[in-house]
Amino acid sequence: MCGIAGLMHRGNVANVGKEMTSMLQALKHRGPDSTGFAVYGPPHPGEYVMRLKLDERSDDMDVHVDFQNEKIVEQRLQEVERRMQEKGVDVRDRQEATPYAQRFIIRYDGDMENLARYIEDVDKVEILSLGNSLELIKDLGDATTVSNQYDLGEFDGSHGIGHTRMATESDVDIRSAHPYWAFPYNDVSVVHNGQITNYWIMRRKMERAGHRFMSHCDSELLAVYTAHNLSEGASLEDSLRESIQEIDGVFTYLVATKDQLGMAKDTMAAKPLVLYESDDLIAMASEEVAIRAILPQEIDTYDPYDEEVRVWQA
Amino acid sequence: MENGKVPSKHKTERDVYRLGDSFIFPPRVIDDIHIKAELGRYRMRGFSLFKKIPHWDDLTFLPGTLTRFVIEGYREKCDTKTVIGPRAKRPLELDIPIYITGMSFGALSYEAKTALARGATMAGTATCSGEGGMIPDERRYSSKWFYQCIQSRYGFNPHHLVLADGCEFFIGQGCKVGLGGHLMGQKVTDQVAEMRSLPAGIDQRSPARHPDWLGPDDLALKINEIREVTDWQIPIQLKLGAARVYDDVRMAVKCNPDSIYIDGMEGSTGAGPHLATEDTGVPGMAAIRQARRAIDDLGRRGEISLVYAGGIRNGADVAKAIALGADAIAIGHSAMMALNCNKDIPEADFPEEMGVEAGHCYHCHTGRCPVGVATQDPKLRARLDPDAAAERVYNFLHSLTIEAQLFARACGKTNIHSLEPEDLAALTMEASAIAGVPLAGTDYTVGVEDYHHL
Amino acid sequence: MAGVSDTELREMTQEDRVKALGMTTEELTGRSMFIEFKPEEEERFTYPWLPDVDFNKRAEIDTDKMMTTEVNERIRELMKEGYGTIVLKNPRGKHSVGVGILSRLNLIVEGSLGYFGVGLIDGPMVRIQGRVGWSCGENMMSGVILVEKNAGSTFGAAMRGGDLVCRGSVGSRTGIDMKGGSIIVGGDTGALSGFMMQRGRMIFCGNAGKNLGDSMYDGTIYVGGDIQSLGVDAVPTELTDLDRSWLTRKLTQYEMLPEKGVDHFTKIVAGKQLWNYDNLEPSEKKLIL
Repeated sequence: MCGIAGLMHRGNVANVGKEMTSMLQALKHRGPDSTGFAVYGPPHPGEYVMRLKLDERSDDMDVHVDFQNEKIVEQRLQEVERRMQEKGVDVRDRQEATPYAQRFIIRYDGDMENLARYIEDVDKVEILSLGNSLELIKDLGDATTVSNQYDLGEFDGSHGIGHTRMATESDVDIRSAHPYWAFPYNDVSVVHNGQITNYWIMRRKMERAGHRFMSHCDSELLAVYTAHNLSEGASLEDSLRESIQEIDGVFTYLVATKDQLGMAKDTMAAKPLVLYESDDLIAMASEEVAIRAILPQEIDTYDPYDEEVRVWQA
Repeated sequence: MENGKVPSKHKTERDVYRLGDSFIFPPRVIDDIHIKAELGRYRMRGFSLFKKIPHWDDLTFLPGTLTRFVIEGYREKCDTKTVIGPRAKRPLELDIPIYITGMSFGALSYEAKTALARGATMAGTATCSGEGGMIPDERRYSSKWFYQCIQSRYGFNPHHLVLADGCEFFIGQGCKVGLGGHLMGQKVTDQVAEMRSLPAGIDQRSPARHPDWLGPDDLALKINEIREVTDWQIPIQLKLGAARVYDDVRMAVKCNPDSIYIDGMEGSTGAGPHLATEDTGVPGMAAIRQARRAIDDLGRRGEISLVYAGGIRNGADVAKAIALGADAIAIGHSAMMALNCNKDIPEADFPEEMGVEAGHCYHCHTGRCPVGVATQDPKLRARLDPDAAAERVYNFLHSLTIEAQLFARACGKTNIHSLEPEDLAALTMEASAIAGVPLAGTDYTVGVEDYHHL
Repeated sequence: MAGVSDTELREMTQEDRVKALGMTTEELTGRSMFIEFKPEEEERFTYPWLPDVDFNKRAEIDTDKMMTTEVNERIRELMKEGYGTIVLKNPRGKHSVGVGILSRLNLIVEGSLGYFGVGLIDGPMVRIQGRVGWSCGENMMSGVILVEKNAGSTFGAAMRGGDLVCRGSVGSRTGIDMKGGSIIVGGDTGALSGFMMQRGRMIFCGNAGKNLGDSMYDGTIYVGGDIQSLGVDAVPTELTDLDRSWLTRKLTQYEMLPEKGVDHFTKIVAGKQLWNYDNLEPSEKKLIL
């Protein structure tokens, strides 16, 4: 189970990276296993940010050190770069937070989904996010650790969502960490607290519709599900509402797009969310303590009720 | 051959038109359908499991002969001291690795509860309040006492909480995993009802979820709340029914309790739907091994204790459970049997009062227990002499311990907690697969490559 | 038999010998007799701390940089010193603050609390000037908790006595498993409020979510606004004069009496059909499907 948080500055840009880090650090006790951020910066005109991971890390991995691994990861990177070149992708920049986590800035006019699938075809490679303004970062450890590792402290943007994870039925690894990118939708990401009890039924349905799953984490389903609905032409709000009827279990989840932030709470209202809303700032988190981490002054907050769906525009 | 007639042959008594016995619909299943068609609901009952599952009997010990130095079987020191929640400021230290699990006042009579408390105290071990709150005399007679924080919070009182030596969160029970407790109206007397703030005489079906926390993330906070109230002194234990054990225990470990209690599907109940007790959960052998692996995988061995309960009948079961990875064993139903459950005592007339012979009674839920254990009826309660009962409980706990020690010593251990899975062999393929120990006479463990490192 | 010589063993009493040999560690004397309290065990049966305090002695704690444990320890220290009015500043949504206070105290919280705020209490008067998270006043036995702003879900879960008041709105599952006392809410409440309620009374001046009073055993719920839906076995009934006078008194006490009075309140009680499910008529059995 988990802690989730979301933040949106309406009509301006602020240090979202630092704010999200303090919010999630305050929620550390809800999930010590891994932390993830999906933050939205100013859009890169004509360019895409692609974050991908070349290897897996899990909590039992430090038991045996694999000396071969470094070389293999290097080879995978070369293969990814070769495939980009083959497709005619113009790579403007590449940064490396860790050997297994790469960030590319690319220009590409072709079919993005096709490109994404071709790159993911490389063994163990997973595209974490792709979009004009989305930066999706996730790794093992608490918020400060991950934030420092990926230099998030200086990130300016308009909105973001984040997650601290306590693994339920899936493993402790990056693959199962949140947020999830709604493959192949640019700039859509999802974080979730709860558990889905018709996961396998829904997953098989989505798989038959041609969607790909990278993990056994039930939250990935929500990302795929959102992507599926959006591809059918539904609005974000419609998709959120429909999920409450179609998905069984207990859940509260947040979805972010390039310019929207949405939340949905299931019929049982068993997963917490505290909401703060003002003209220029929306902040929400599993616990008040996270909101207080960025807003020390006296504010009014409330709990959304069951089956509540909200969408905010940046 | 007179008149060409064949003399009449002795005819077989077999009814040749009978097709045989159905495995799917044997008479007891047919009766069950008839009864439910009358009742219009599930059938309630007490007692443990009725169907056959891989069980402790399917394991055997491999004692030392020449390869091992055995410890003198009946005399030499074999330590039985057991600590639950070593990290707490005031850990629960038991003289023996067995304690008496939570059974509510309500399901059990006052005499039974106090006799269990006194028997356990004599044996130097603990008891648990069970659902329905504390009866002061139980606390008085228990030198070590768990207070149960159960979903319904019947009778839960912070004044009693600060008197406890340990606090147990009841999250599930092995005999009906995922369901709440039951207490039928016959047992909800004025006194029981008052303790639970309920109307007397109602059928009480307790909630299956805690009211104030709804997920493990909240549970971590709830545990800290109880720690704050009890000044971080006493161990906090989580009692889980055995189902998705590996994941559940990993989750439980992350909530950071001092002890985790796993209740196998063999566990009993005072009242529950018959099918729920038959068809939920996994056997203890599987549960202990998985729970132990979960705790070890997260590096918390020695910090978080593992308690097992369910289907423990004798010292061999105790020793086998410890060998598979349990730190302590809790008993419920066998302790009730020590009190007199299903015993043909002179005062009781089982066929007349219960409709079954002693030894076949599972009617705890009716509150008409002929031996005065699982009842609130003053006439029936008088059949249990608490003094003698307490002594029997003590004797039983002591016997369990020396029996368990016997196996430990035979395997060359000077401490009962040194028993390990390598001291066991499985007698069936099923037991080998679920307990993760090799089949007797082979080094083959079904489905496992390296049983030393599951 | 490590450490014990033969001679020593011979000189021991039967009981000590058995123990030294590791066969048993129990007391062999008085086996079937009453076990009396031993004086040296006395501390086990007394409360760790139950000070008497003076309401006129006032202290402030700035909790900004403190851990929850430090805050609770400080409260206990101050109470031991006789402080009867304690003000907590900057609680910033901390969890489990002020829990387990079992004697009288005047506690003022200048800010918001997180989960399990002032749970498991018996006696104190608490005023929370901000908001509280989930399970505020959980299992409280007596006393008063007054929350000025909104409250989270499971407000007053398994509560057994006292008054739990929220001027704003509360989350879902308010008064779940409630066993006594009163919950008074100025605003709305979410779904499943009063689920499996056993005793006590709840007042919601605003609206109530779906499944109100689901499976309630007993107790009374008063709702001033709309009810989205009633739960299984919860039934509306007539407001009596006694109800009206009690509502007026309670709401006046906390300055929450609506201008239009209390006549518009709906009263919900248990239908008592689930009390003995086994005795239901066939047509009634579908109640719990």
